[in-house]
Amino acid sequence: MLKLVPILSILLSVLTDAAYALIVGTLLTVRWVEGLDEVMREATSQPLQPIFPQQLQRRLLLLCTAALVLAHLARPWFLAASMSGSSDFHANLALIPTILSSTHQGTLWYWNSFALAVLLLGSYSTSLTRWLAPFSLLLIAFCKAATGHAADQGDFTLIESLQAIHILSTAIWAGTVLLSGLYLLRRIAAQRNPFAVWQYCASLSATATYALAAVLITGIYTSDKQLNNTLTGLTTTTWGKVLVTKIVFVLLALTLGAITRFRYLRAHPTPARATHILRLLSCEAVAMAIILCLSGALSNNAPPMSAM
Amino acid sequence: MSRTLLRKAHLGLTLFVLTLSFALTSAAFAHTHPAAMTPAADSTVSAPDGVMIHFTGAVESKFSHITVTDATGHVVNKDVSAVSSDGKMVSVTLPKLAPGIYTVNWVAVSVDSHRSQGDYKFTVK
Repeated sequence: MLKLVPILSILLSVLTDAAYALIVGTLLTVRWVEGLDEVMREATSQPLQPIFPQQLQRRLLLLCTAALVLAHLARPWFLAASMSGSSDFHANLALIPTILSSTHQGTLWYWNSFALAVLLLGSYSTSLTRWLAPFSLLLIAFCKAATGHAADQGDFTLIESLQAIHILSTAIWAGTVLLSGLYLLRRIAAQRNPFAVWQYCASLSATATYALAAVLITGIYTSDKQLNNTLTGLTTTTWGKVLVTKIVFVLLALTLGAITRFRYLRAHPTPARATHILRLLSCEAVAMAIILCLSGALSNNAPPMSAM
Repeated sequence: MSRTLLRKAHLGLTLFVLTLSFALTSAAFAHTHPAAMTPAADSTVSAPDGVMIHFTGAVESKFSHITVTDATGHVVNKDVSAVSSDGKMVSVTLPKLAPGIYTVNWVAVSVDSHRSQGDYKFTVK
């Protein structure tokens, strides 16, 4: 049981991050494919299936929201395990009222519950989703930032706000790449219209670039404020090795994205090049899934400087 | 320098800075730990009125505490420890201590829920 708790905690983090990224990704990609459906309908006389059917969008949003809710309901027990340092199920269960009533994490758990309730309400109708989902996703990002190390110097600080933007921009990058690489671009490529692939990838590439810029700016600021000579542990601790592995996959994802953008998207659209883009984006999506798993492992591990 | 070479150099620089940014951001998530202790670790002092530890970040009052034990392992503090209003200092008052070596055991749960613990010694002359 003792070893199982950290593993379950990592899985919970991965599930939450992936579900959050996929919700953000769905809301963004839906707008890109709406225009493409029109273009492709005009280009062919045959009836075409929509690239991202509305029923599938709704199911995906509901599934990811349900995953967030389940992870949220389980979270107080894992908070109790983390705070008490114990893996005793009943002892940690008994601590939950104390955590929810008198800790910073408890207060934020209620705010997160409110954000999830709004998200759930929004997932019942398309018009509600457009209005309510961005608000609830922003609130979830703030709650996540405020439950992390960025909150150590207090709430509503610049560093906490930038951490929230960092979380949101990471979700935009990961969510759009995952959804595009594993599903949407395959659907678009199957229509045998390379121009549609180019049009979709132009939106994806522009969004990913802005998201990465935000990740970069917020990342450098928060690092500058919080870093205390911890790079020495990169090769000597488990935490450091996981981080190095994550960096390798981040570099891989960036390289794949850069090749797509600079080599293929600037060339004339052809079916052969569209196939190459599809392969590159599929690899980038797999790299992104691995990055999410490694991020979950990192957030549940103590970095070297905490060892005293 | 040709345009292609400039583009490659720009791309390489971007990749490097982004990677560094990811490394630094992840490295930043360290847990709360003591920044200053009174009495200081391994110091020799006159009998102190209490022990104070300033932490690098805010800690949870319900889960963070200090206990002081003597050389035989008996807890010498009569009161429970208290956390300051800003959450960054944990203190405990002490009765008049006899000369000897004492161990301060601390547990700190930061607001991000991570628990850290440690101990250090001081000597009463």
